Amino acid sequence: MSKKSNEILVAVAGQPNSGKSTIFNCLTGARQFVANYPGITVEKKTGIYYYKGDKVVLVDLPGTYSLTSYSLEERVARDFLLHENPALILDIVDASNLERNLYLTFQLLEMDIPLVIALNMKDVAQRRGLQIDTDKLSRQLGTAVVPTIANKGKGKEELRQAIWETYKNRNSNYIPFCINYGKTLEPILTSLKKQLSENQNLSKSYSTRWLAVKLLGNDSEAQKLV
Amino acid sequence: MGDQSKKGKDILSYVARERDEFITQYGEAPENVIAQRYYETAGEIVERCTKRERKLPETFTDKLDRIVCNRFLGPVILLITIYLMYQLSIVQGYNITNYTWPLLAAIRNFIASILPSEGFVFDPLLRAMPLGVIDGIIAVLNYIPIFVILFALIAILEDTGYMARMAFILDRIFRYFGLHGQSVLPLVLGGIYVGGCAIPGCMACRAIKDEKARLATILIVPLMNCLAKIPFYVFLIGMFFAAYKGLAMLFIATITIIIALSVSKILSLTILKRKESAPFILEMPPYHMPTIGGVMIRCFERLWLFVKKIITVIIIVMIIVYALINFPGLNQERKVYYEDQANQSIQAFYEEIGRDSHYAKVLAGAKLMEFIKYNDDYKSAKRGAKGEEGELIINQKFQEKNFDFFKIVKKGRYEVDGEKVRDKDAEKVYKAYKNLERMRKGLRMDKKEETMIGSYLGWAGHSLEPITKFAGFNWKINIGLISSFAAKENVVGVLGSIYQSEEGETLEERVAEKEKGWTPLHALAMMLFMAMYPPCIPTLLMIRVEAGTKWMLLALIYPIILGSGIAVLIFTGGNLLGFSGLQAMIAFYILAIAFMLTMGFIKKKSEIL
Repeated sequence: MSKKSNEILVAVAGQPNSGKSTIFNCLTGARQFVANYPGITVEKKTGIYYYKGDKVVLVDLPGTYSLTSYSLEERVARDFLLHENPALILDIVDASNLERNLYLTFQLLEMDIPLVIALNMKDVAQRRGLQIDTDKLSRQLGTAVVPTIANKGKGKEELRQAIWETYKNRNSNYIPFCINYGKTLEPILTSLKKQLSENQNLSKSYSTRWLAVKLLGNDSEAQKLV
Repeated sequence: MGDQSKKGKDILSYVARERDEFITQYGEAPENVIAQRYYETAGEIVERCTKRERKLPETFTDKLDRIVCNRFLGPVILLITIYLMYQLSIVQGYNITNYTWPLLAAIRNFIASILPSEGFVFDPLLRAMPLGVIDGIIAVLNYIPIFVILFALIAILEDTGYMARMAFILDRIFRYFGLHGQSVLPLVLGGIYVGGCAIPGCMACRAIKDEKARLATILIVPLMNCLAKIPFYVFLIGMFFAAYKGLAMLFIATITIIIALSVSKILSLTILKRKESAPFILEMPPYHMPTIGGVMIRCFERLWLFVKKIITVIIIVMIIVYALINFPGLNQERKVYYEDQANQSIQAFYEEIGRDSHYAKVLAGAKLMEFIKYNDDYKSAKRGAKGEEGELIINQKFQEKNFDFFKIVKKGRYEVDGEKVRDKDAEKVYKAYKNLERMRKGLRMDKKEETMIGSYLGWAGHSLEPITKFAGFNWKINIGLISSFAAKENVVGVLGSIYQSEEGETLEERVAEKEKGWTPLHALAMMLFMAMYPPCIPTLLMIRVEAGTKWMLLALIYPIILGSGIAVLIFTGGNLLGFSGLQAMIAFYILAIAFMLTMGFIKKKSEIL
């Protein structure tokens, strides 16, 4: 066995109360390390597990509703995704609050990092009479969607499998879901995206579409990047 | 690089132009359109991928929320929850420390036993200093049971979803003072009524997402009445407000929150003005049953973070404090004096037991120190003994260690080969030794006090007197107050040793005797200064961990100014107006409430409730 094992860096994102920590604990068990993000008091939790010979390193991002630059937590989460180059994002989505949770999912998708969705608390959604077609959702978003019930440990293996597969297929023709911003914004975005692509430094480090959207949205942190 | 940044500038100006054009054309900012598209798309996808089986039944969460967030029941439930948290963590936690303390004490004793042994009056520096540091560390570690309970309870509150409801109920009032609904828990833990601790209070501020409110809360939590301030209040109230004890206690318990709210508002209007105030999104998550594992993991990871940070810093701080209290130390002349005194009492001891007696030989020279240690060890071993059996084992052990010493510590009553012996000589030695022990303790205490008065700290107390006299504090009070900076419990202890006197008198009696000029105004000024007093060193370290050095310094400095200002106002102002203590108390209370209400009504333009 001379196969070199990989280290897969996974950023775990999700809105508050989506069950993010429960899934994090369930995936990594006791192998966790807590530190603060450098210089600030936001806790940074790292956990490790091994799957099919690969080491998977999970980093728990602060729970945020979106990825603007309003609060410390949002900035921390965003900076991690931008600068630490995670191989993929595990997005925890509360099935019983699907519509609102997708708001964050869209922003994550825009960052052009492979995504795996854990559709958590499906049981709660079901009890509320909400049936979610997981396959359809997966096709719509162009990502793996794994139903989980984290507090009962359900879906753990499937999630590990999905993370691993998404990682292995990361270089295949992955077409992320794109929000259509409508005929008023799209032309401006396209032209801006073209200008950004000409700048080698920027286009190498960031998704140009994401940057274009953020710049038009008057995002102060994005302006600093340019 | 220059080329790149020029490009960047071009892009930014292009963006700015396009934005302006967009806004004039569609009357709407692009970010609004973007957000709108997110919502619309989310709606579309949910529409496509989900099926509603039946009409939404009212969920358990909805039902519970109707009670918990009820306008009248809500605050009641909130108060009960807060009271329970306080009871379980602070009160019960302190009870648990009764069981964990012996463990810490055992560790201390073990370390003490491997350090150079103590002298009759003067201990070697290599013993005194490490022990001073260790005492500081275990004083902090002693809080651990409180933290375990507290962190677990906070984790439960967070996981169940009640924390969000708590914030929701209180947010409206707290917003007026630049705080956040979630500020309530830290304030309660800090001792919103009486008896909390600022360390868990500051720690609990982590839950506050709004940076501005978080810093404001951290800065005012130390103004609450922590447990360590209580003995000082009790002491002064007992002396000067004996007729209105309940009223005075109520005054001191409530005045702190009144002042704290005003302070928080002032801070958020000035220093914290530029800090970000997160747009207020409060989500009511559905209630969940927390998992034991989740709660435990969160509780212990926070605990570990706390222990790690505190311990590393406290060692350095305790060394500095030790030096301030003990240096420059006694001059040669005084040292000789104490050694003479010690020698005299030792000689008197030998005289008493008879110079040529058997026991005088047993206790000759260095053996006396050995016996002192033996006696102390025996006493502490007996204290730790469980039941008669345990005591027998200890007796056996000490008898084997040194039979002659054993005879003395048993007051001459021991057994030889199963027969009871009554040794009159040993009994006499025991009695003489009790005298010697008392003398030694007195000398050590005197020496300690004199060292402190002559120390840098004592010097500071003296040199501050010209200023503090406006607040009514003399240099002795100054020393007490300064020394309580390490831990507030110190103040009564230090005053106790400064006002040392005949045995049997209480501190109240002694102070009354020596400070005949003291009036209730003195006491009130002192009490209020104590209430505003800067955070103790462990709390400051916690603030540094939570907010950074800059905020720690602010938390150190502003209470001194505020406390001095209030003390001067009470003492000098009260004297000028000829107020009695009670009148001054009432006048100040009314003033503080009026000020708080005024502050509450000042609203910033951007603040929209």
